Amino acid sequence: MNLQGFTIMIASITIVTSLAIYCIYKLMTSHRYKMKNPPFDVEIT
Amino acid sequence: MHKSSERWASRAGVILVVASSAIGLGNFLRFPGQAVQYGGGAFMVPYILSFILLGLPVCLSEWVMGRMGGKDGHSAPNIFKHFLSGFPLYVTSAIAILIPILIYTYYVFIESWCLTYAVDFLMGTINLHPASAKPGIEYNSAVVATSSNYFTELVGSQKNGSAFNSKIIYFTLFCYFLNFFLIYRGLVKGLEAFAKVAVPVLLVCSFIVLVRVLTLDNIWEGLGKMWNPDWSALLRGQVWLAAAGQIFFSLSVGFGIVLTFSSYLTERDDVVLSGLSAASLNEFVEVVLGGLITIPVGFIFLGASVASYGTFGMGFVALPAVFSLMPLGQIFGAVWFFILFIAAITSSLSMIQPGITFLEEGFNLNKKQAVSILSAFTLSITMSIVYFSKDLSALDQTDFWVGIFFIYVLATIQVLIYGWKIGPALARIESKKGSLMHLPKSFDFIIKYITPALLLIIFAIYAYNDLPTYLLKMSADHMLSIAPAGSVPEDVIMSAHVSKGVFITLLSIFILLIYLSYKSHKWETKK
Repeated sequence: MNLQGFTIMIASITIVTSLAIYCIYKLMTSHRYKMKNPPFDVEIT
Repeated sequence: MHKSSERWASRAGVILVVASSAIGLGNFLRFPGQAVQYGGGAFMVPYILSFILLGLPVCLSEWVMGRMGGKDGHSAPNIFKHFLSGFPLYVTSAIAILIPILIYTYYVFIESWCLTYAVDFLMGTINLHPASAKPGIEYNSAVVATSSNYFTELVGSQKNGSAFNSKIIYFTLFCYFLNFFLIYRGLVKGLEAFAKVAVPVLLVCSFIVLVRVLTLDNIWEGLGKMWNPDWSALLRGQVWLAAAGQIFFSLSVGFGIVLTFSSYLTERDDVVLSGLSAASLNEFVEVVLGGLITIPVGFIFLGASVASYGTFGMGFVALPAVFSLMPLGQIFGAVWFFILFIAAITSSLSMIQPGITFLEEGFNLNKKQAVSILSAFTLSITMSIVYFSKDLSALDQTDFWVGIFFIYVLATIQVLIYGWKIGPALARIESKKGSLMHLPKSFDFIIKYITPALLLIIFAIYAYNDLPTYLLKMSADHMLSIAPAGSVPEDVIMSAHVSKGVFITLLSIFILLIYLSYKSHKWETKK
């Protein structure tokens, strides 16, 4: 594996992992907010 | 039409259901195959651009439109009646219902291959080692040849009807009824509960296999095969087309599935962050797990030839051979094919829901009646696909017409509705309701001009490149040329006519069903 390949691999993994972590972070922090407020219009049947 | 009162139990649930619907065999098999074929690491440039300009806009527009249209119901006609009326409404709704149903009919067959291989590896009943070859490159080639024969016999691709004499038919029926059993349990107890277990299991199993692959000797050479860039590839239009196609199919946009699922959300629920989360989880699995496992492990054991396998060849010929050659391959082979099975079943499961919802809402059926009717209808098509297994021709035809052609049509219609009928300004206001994240301003320009233009260009090129080939395959001359000796020419010509008309006939039937459901309930379409 050459340096360019290694760089692209690390960059690609970083981009998609960062995006996934960012989304999880936003969801989890908002979840706490939503817990103080009604989170969902739950009508389970 | 009555409206189902079901709702998602949690935000995590709907995200996992949509993400697991998108995570499929394409993440583990198609993406690495496309990347290594079209420039290695350089493929990531058009791939990421396509994600931003094509995948995300279509994906987010589906989430927003689904929630907007879900006020009166959750089936495609109920959703699209907010944006269309008359014949365009009937046709668009019919396509949106037909796509997931027809994809299910052949996807469940492929799903059963994964389960069969998982069980075979687990039980040690798969032996791909030739008796008379000596260790070395020739030995590895002999293992691949044995693997190819095993696959051919398993799926019956040597002769029509032979799959019915293989164990694959039992696995197909098992997968078939497992899907309908889970969907019968409902949105929360079936789909959501299963996704909450399946996604973590899939991720844990994938990491186990990933650790094994990354600790193999010569792993850097394998990773180099996948990621070393060939920058000259970026000058080829085909590479950009392949990247756009991969993103499009990977995110499962244009299937009519996200529309249905997001229609169960209310205005107090987020759609933008949920859509982005589902897409990002799919991308994580594709790039990190798909990109680090499949090609590297294949290259280590099979050399440069690993790049020449197609998606099925990679998944069901090359990789079984690789696991047969790998130390502890029996265990890791079982885990790997279990991963593929989980990825496949979470996708196939979600494909049934739009059809069930349509039957429930359109004809006032209860869940049991809807499941019974849809299972009988799809079983008849699945069995036809299993029967016409020679060279997997029926599967290939269905995949092209439904899995490519119809999907592009529906995605283009959806984006045009979002950008030009609803308008980005109103859609933006809708997207902000309950939102935990706002769309950037640039999204309006992209969804209105860039995404439709890209979709139309890709659709035109696909049609130009592949349409003549698939039309030729349906011609009487072609069918006569491949017909077995002793076939009656009149019967073969009749088969050609049937294959030409089958998709148009099915579409017509669904248009009629939607029309009848409207008329019987005296629906008023919203202007």
